[in-house]
Amino acid sequence: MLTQCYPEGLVYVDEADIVYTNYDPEYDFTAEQTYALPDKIMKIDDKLVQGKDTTFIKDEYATVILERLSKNLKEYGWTETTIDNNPDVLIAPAVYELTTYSYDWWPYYDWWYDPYYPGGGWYYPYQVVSSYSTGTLVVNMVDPTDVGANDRPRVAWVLAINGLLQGSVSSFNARVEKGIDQSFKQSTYLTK
Amino acid sequence: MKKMMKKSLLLAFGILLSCFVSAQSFTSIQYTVGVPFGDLKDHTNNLSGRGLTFEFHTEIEPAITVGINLGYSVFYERKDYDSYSQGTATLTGVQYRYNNMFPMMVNAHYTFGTATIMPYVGLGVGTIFNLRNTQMGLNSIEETNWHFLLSPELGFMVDVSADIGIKINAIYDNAFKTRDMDAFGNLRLNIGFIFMSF
Repeated sequence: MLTQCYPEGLVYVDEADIVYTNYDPEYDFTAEQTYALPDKIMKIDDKLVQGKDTTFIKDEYATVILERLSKNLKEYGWTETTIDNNPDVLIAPAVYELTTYSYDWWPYYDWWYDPYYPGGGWYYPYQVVSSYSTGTLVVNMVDPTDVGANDRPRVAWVLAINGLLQGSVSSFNARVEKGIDQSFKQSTYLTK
Repeated sequence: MKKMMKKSLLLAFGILLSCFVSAQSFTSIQYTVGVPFGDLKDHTNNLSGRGLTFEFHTEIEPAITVGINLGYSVFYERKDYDSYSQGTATLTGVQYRYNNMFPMMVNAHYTFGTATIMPYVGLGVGTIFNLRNTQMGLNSIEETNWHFLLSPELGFMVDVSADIGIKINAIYDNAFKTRDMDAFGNLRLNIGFIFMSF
């Protein structure tokens, strides 16, 4: 009876979705023009931790995420190019299927941008959350030419949307699109 | 501060117990509506319709009673999908906010007259425990604080029979600032029954 009297909390799964963004205020976003996206989105999961081959989320989900990122970047005046054309920034997405994992190193170099930094990893010139919960989509905007003292490129902007692994598949598209749109809406400094 | 409050409460309970041996006593249980003020209103800006107040008093003079007063109220607010920024970071989502209030105090009443309707004024001193939760997504921030409490009170009692009455009152719980949390107010509007015993 007591629990019935207590006010309600989270009822709908989409209310669990949180959009987090952070950026480097020293970074001149207006000076950069082009970006490159991978054609797959890697998973941060047990296999990755065990050193096995990188695994990826299903193409049907990846397509929704990548297209939405691209759409928003273009609306803000950015131009898409390929990894071979020396893009100004790299858009590096990943989905966490673990609660905690190092947030400044994903083995992207295994399959996508090896030519740029064989050592892998990057650095955040600002405070970021120390871990991401399961189901979080994290996207880093990395400047491959802006390398810090530790030989790691700078993450100029980061977005994280959590809660995406909860709920039905049918609700995924609408939620992830809403989340990505919101991340750009609250990051107007990306505008050209 | 906590130790001092605990000692004060124990001392007060001791004094009360010594009075209860032969005096007339009053027990009341009331439904409580809470109205938030100050920092409480900033966090949960809604009335609380979920609350109870329990009181036990004994008469030490013809018009004066003293006793203990314990309460519980939960305040709740759902904040719509919105953005919250700190520095360069921005967080957007739906927030659920809760404040669970546990006022506990010793208090005294001065009653006017002996008619069917008896108005009274009172003052209480004690502590209020606040368990505060802010939930965003699947994450929750929990804060707990003990505040020093000073509570003026105004009300009246209506006799229904020789040993049962209706009690209606307003208690303003004035919670003082702590190191981690600002001061706030909780106006308790109570209605319920009072039972007399000898």
